[in-house]
Amino acid sequence: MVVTPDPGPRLPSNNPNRYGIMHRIDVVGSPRSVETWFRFLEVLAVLSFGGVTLTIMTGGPPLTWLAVAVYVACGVALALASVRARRPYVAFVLPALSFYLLFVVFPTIEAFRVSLYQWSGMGEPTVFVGLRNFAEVLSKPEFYNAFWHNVVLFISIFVLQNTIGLLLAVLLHGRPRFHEVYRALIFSPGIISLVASGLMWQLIFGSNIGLLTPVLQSLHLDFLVHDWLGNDTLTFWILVFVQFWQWMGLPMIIYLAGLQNVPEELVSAARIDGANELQAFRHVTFPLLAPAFTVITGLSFITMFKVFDIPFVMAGSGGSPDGTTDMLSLMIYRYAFGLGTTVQTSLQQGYAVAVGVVMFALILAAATGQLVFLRRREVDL
Amino acid sequence: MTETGILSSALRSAMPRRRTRLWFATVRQIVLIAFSTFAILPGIFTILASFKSLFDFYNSPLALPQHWLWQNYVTVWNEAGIPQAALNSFTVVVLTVPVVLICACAAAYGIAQFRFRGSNVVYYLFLAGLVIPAQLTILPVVLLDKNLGLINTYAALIFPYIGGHLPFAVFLLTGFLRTLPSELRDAGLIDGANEWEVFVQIIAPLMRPALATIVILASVSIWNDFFFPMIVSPKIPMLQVGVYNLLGVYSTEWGHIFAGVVISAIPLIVAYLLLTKQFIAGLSAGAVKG
Repeated sequence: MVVTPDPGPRLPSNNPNRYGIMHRIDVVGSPRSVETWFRFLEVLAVLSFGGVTLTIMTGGPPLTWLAVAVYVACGVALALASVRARRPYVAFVLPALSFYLLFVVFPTIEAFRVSLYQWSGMGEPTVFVGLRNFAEVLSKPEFYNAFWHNVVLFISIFVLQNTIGLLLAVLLHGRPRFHEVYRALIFSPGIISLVASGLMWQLIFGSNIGLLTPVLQSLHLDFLVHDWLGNDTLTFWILVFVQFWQWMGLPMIIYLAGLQNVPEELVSAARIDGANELQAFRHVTFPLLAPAFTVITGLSFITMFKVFDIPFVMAGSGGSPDGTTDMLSLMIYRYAFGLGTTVQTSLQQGYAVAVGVVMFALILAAATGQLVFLRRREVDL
Repeated sequence: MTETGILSSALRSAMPRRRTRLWFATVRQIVLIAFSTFAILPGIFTILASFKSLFDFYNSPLALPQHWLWQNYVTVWNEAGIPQAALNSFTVVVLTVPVVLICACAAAYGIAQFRFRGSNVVYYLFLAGLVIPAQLTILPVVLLDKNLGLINTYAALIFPYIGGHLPFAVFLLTGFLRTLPSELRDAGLIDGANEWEVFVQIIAPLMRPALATIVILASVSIWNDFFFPMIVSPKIPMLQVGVYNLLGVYSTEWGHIFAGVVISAIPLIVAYLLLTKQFIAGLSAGAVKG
């Protein structure tokens, strides 16, 4: 997904200038005592991070507050010392890094740890069960049911985005009159929150207030009327439809950017050589859109495997009716927080996190695959 | 084919081609109008519904409201705690976004302009954050908030939001800063500025164009977030939780519920109308992060 520029050749590590350009200005090394003090603080900061995570894993305030205070103090001391020790980059990177380590990296590692425990959600996880959570999750038909829905959702969104999204981009690319208005309108559902769009679509498909049923009745098309949100097969496709509606503008924007990068000369050359407009598009423009295609595909894979919002608001956490709209994220929610209305006594947090780990593995595989694929494409072009 | 053959065939096809062009332009406009309508139609229905009385919903679902009930808005505004919820969300946005910006700018500067040992490790560590699904970390984050005693405070939301929005911001700004020459910093240092002054007075102003993307993306996603606030701050409802709770408060008073939906979306719609281009750029860039 991300291609990073090569950082350039490194100087040998025994070179006094090994930390880069900063030594160009002032090559005088720092006094040994400052260096030792900096090293000491470095070790202390790492230890304090370990201390914070350990206290958080085992208990609540005020001990955790004390640990956080020590962590922050070590960070501040290290940042101050870094200037004297001629490593100013430490002071720049440290604030972001400390937030990130504590609130993203630690929870991620913690998730992997919790997935090895049987845990009801009360107190701390203590019963170690190894990989049993994974074995149980992977032996449940429920998991494969949810997984299959994610797969179908991905395939349908993939097809819709790469046909309709591309069509819209091609239509807008010619800059027809009002193209900016169309672009803004088609993209606009993307700013609406999931709660709002869930309720808005209730107004169309809902069983009490839905507008679709009276519309069909007034057109005398009664045979088309269904219980839109309570139908074994239809409800899932309505979710696909709403999901597509909300982010319809995104593939359009990405393809539009791709189209603007296609050199005009290539297309006119093909036209002069006798290709018609369709042939020129098929053989010249379309192959050059490959990077946009890869981005959209990877993107829809990742988002469709994470999807939670619209299924949750429109069909509930149980994937109603009868699990026909169940998704991996809904499964995580059920095991972690119960079914919402009913109080569940035995939550299976370990299961929930195990499903989360499986999901993460899928997404990571997709992201890596995309990275490799993109790189290969770039060589081809 | 001879040269005259090509010419005559070109002449012959000139007339029909113009007609094809016109036909194509018409079809194009029709398709674009159709999709634009499709995009905003649910919103228009929602606005109409927010003025309806319960009687209208059941007796004339397809008609315009018989009486335009502004009362729906007044009631929701006064009774349902929507202004307070909006204020809560606004506070969280205002406290989170500047911290994200400052931390990310500094980190990106540190990573991009100092080629120190491990700078790539730090960079890839931040990049990994782009693919971690929220569903994986939600339970540990709730546990973290609980053990830090933050549940039902703004801090329970702000700290995880800062952590969660940093990867994309660092990724974007690092890419941006790598295109700047390192001589800028050297020149600043030679002229007698210290590291901090170089960063604040020379580098930070150059990052301004990339900041809009980060501000828009972070603000919109925090404003629209529902699931996480619902779990960690049920007693201080954020906006979307407040809107969702309308379902419980006014179980079948749909006019009130949709008035709440419209109120919650107005700030974003206004911002979108004013800054359409920046919004589209920001939100697509944010989606590409995955």
